[in-house]
Amino acid sequence: MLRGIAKGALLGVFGWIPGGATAYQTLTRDWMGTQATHVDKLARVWPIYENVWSQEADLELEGLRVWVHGGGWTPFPFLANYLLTGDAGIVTNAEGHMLDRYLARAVNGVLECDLPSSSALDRRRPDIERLRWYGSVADAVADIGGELHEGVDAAAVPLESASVDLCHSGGTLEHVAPAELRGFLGEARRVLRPGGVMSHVFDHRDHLHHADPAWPYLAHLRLSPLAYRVLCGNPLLYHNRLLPSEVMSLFESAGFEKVAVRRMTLPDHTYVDSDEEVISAAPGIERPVLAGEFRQASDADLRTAAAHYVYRKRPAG
Amino acid sequence: MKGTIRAVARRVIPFRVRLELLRLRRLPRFLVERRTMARRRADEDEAAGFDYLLAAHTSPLERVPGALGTAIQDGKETNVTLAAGLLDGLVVGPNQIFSHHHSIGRTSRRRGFREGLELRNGESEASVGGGLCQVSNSFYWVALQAGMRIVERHRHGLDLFPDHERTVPFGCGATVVYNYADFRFENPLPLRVMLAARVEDGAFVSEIWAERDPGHRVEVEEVDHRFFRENGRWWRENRLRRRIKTPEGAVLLDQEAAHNRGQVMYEPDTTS
Repeated sequence: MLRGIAKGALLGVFGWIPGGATAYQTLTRDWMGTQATHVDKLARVWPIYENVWSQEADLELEGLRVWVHGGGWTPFPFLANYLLTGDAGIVTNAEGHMLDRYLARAVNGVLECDLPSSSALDRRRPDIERLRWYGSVADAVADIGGELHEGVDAAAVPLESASVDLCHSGGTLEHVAPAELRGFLGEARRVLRPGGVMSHVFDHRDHLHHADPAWPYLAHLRLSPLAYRVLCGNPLLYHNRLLPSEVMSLFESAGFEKVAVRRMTLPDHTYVDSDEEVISAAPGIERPVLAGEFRQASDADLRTAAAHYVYRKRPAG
Repeated sequence: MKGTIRAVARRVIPFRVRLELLRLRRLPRFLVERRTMARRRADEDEAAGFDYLLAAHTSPLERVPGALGTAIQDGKETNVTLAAGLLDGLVVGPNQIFSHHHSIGRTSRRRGFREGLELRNGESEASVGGGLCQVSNSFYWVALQAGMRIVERHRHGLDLFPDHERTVPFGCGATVVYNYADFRFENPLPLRVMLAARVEDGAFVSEIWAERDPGHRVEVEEVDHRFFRENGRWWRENRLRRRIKTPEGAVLLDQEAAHNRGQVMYEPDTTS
């Protein structure tokens, strides 16, 4: 628990002082290179995404136009998209900027990714491999035809209407305030082509759990809205604390229909499809200590550490 | 405006003070990034596992016999030998960065470094640790040929002497000044590489070894070399192109690795 408290205090200090969040990101991501491990994580999860897109959403990946929102500090999403679809696609970042230091790591991560073998992928591997020697991410991304937008307002995305087949994010949207999230979903609906697919992974955990596994993974649901705003309402700690059922409602009210919702449970880190399987997992917090607004949460929601929401754009009208 | 302030500062503030200010400016970042730099050295058993030579270069410690005084030449040889001992066996993991300064540290008499010739502020002078540019120059050339990704390199601004038995193209150097002008490369390969360095038969030997064949070949070529006059001064210029090829010879990448330009400090022979 001490590690969780220490990390929370550190992020609290940096998060509340003016310019502190930027300083923290510069220190950790630019100077200390902490995003290198993020590449390793993406290399582990991207094959799972690929499986969901091709199997659950029944998408033909070849030639698919993919938009990744919150692509982060590494060019991994561009490279993975190019390898899978032949189109590097689009990445939008609300915060952060892609750093040259992660280019070769992203190249190696994508090439080591456990993606299904095909002649198209094999043909494209050398195109990815040579990027490891490029001097800058910008040149590498331009070389494979990627489109990068940084400093994007999630509720006003600078992309053409009906220009994308798949909109994906991982570990991004739980940091977006509900009102802004509604705006983003509206924008995504505009940018997606008819029948386009939304694929978004929400990490529902209190992120201090990542620093300290002894920290209950839904500990942030203890705090009242006021207490949460005071303690965690800064750019480094903010989490919208939406429950899975609330996220599903948001997707549906924004004009999407459910394809699949895969919940990740702990301690096994396994993704399960049915609520019955979720119920057997360990809860992230005991019900009696929940703050008032979360008391009505379902048993499944209190056992969901993360969830992959796959929705399809509903036809207009 | 910024340029004017800088020009005035250059005239008013002594070089040594400016140097310390620049060091101080980079210090926080230098300390924070230290843990991520390649600093571990392989023991003898581990070093034996690096058995694929990616690139090597040998450069004589005394290019023109007798050109420097004995004390300065001896000092340089001592400095290069000490640096070689600090670099030999250094392991650079995949995507890890090698830094000349993080590996060798600040040179001082206490650490055994002596006075050698150093180019400072456009003039050559004797200073402790002088002559170590030969180490960074050699590893720059070796790193280019080994397929490393150069992430920081500062070229020399002056071409001091006419070519004498030159084995690498003009400009294949990397000047270093602790700690703000560093020579760094990233290992972009998915396998570990190891630096080997030693002084042997009056020459500095630099090598980069890999755990196995990385599956590509590298060629570095000088193009567009020329001497030219500008504003009454002689200048020298060239470009280095690096080609990464598959073992079968197919070109994966053909890139400009460097564009070198330096003021010539001697009367060049432009007849050849």
